[in-house]
Amino acid sequence: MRLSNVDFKKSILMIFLFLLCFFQMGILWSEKNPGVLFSFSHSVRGNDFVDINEVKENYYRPKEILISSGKGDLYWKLDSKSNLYRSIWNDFKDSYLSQIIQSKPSIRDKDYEQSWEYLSRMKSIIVEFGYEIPSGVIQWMENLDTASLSAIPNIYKIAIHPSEDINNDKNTLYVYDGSNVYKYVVTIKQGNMKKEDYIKAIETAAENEFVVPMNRLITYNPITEQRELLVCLSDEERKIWDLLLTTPDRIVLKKDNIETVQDYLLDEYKGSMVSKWSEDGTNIIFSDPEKVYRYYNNGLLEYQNRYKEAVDKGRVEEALAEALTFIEYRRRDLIEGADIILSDISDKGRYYAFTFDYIVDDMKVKVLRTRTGTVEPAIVINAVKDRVLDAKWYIKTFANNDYSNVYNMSFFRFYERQFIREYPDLRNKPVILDVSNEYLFSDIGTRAEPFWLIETNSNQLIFVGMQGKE
Amino acid sequence: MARKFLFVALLFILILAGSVVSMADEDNSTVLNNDNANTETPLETSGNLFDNFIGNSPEYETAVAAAEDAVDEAYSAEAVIERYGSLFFDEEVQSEIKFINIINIEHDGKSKNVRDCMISALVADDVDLDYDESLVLMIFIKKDNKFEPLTDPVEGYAWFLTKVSFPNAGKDNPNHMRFVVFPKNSYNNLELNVNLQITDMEHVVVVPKLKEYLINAQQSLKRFLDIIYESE
Repeated sequence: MRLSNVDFKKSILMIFLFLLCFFQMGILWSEKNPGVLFSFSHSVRGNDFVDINEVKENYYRPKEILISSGKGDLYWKLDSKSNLYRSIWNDFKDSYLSQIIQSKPSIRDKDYEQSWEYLSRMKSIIVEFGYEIPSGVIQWMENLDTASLSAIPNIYKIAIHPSEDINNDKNTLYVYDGSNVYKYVVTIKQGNMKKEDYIKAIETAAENEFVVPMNRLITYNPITEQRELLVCLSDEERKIWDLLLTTPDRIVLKKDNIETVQDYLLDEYKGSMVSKWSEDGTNIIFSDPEKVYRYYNNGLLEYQNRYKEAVDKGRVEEALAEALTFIEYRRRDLIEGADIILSDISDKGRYYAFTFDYIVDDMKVKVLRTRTGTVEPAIVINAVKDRVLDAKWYIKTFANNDYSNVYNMSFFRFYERQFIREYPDLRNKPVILDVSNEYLFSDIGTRAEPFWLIETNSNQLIFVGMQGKE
Repeated sequence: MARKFLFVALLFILILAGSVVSMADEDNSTVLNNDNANTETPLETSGNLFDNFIGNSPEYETAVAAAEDAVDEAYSAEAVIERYGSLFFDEEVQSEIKFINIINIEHDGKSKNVRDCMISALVADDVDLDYDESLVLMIFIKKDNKFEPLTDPVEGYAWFLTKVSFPNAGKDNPNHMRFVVFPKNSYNNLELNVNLQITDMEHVVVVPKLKEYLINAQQSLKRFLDIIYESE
């Protein structure tokens, strides 16, 4: 049967209309619903694919690497930019951590091997994480075989005693999980630092230009009961820049920028999201039946998943993968000038809480809430094995401000000249839990400055601006 | 005919599906209240809001500096030692009051010399200084029955941490120290047990046996040479 000319034209028109209809429907579906196979509308972002396995190891590293002089009280803190720091940490990532996780601890045959304080006072190199990292997290971070069960639940600090084992290809590690000490004799593999390099690093620490001397505070002043608390007591100086923090240009909250903000901050499938501006125009809410995002014009993103009840929290590494994916999907092309690292993991019963901090020049950058006067981390994410439940994130990009100063890093000097004059009631009382130097930025400002942060045993966080020389 | 009917039916189904999607409810009343929601109205400003949170205000610092300057103008450690030398260096004198407590004398780990130490002392609990006041700590060492300064006088408000280098080492050669402490603004009117603390202390610089033997031999030789020199 042959089609007439008119019928042929009709058929072409019908096919065209059919395709047009299908395409229009596709656009509507892709904007309102998740799960469309093909992208019918243009996205501002390029490649949305996030391979967390490629970047996950960037999110964890030691809080500090210390060289113990063996004199009981004096330690040398390594600059994270030094070659020695990098070499030691590479040895751990490439070899030692996997050996710790995958092998059984050696038998401790000496009494002192059970005392972390004693071991850390001996000549050694100490790799210290700021929190107890669950073995499962290290297993996942290092892509190790999940079938091998680690003998230790957490890793908090590791002391390398290179002189202990007589074999040249063996290094002795003491792993402290926060309460117990485990001994491991690990193999020095091809590409690792040699044993004599470790010994030399300890013996020549005082001559190393990338170290800062640290002392146990409790030895000199009983204002703390923390035997592990180290502070700098000598007049070391350091040039520190103020930081300029801004909300990344692409996601500045404006009426004509909503689509771009959605592209960057909302999940990949944002089909049925509805948006609503606050009455004062300072924030916007995006929501769907499952998720609620609130984004403020100061760069604060708050996220909540509506389904929080009856969730299976799963393993900590599974929840961490969700948290890292949440960050990694959003940070690309937005955040420059700072690293983001995992600062704490806390098991909250029904879920896991992950705290992340921006890091610039080895200093954390934290938020000072002007309304409450409290200091908070920049990123907090609560997650379970298959989803992020809550998140709170100040999304900022970083640059050096136009101001720098030279600061004295001596805690003694700070205590005597600033701290105790402001807080005389704390004099001679064992109240200090922790001392640190960190950047603080106001949640409504664009500048971060260096501060002394003093954590007390009454859950008080005292912060005092560092005083520069100039 | 069937083909036309099928096409029209398909067209209607597609239009219907598209309409359902496009007319999806955009009512925001379903948005849950966010418990963590920040109800403030933050605006990015370039101003520095830290001033309220920085410990020392400029006024405070100026006041402290002015008060200290007034005392500093007249105070001189050398003049004080000269004036009160007979009291400071009286062998029998020991005070009952305590402005400071010696916390620790620890080897200065950064030095390879076993005699180099750090002395840590804290101002006593019952001493209450005003913000513009400070204590002066002088440390003397006894050599040949005479007191000599071990280090420069230091001033402190709550904590003294000073480096010293002891002349003697080994358990047979203890270092006899004398700590003299007084409020700086009382320097003109020092009275024992009123505003002046004088405390003696002994400190032994511990050295390995062999090193101690060598040090002792060195010191004996020095004494022997001194005697010969004096006899000439």
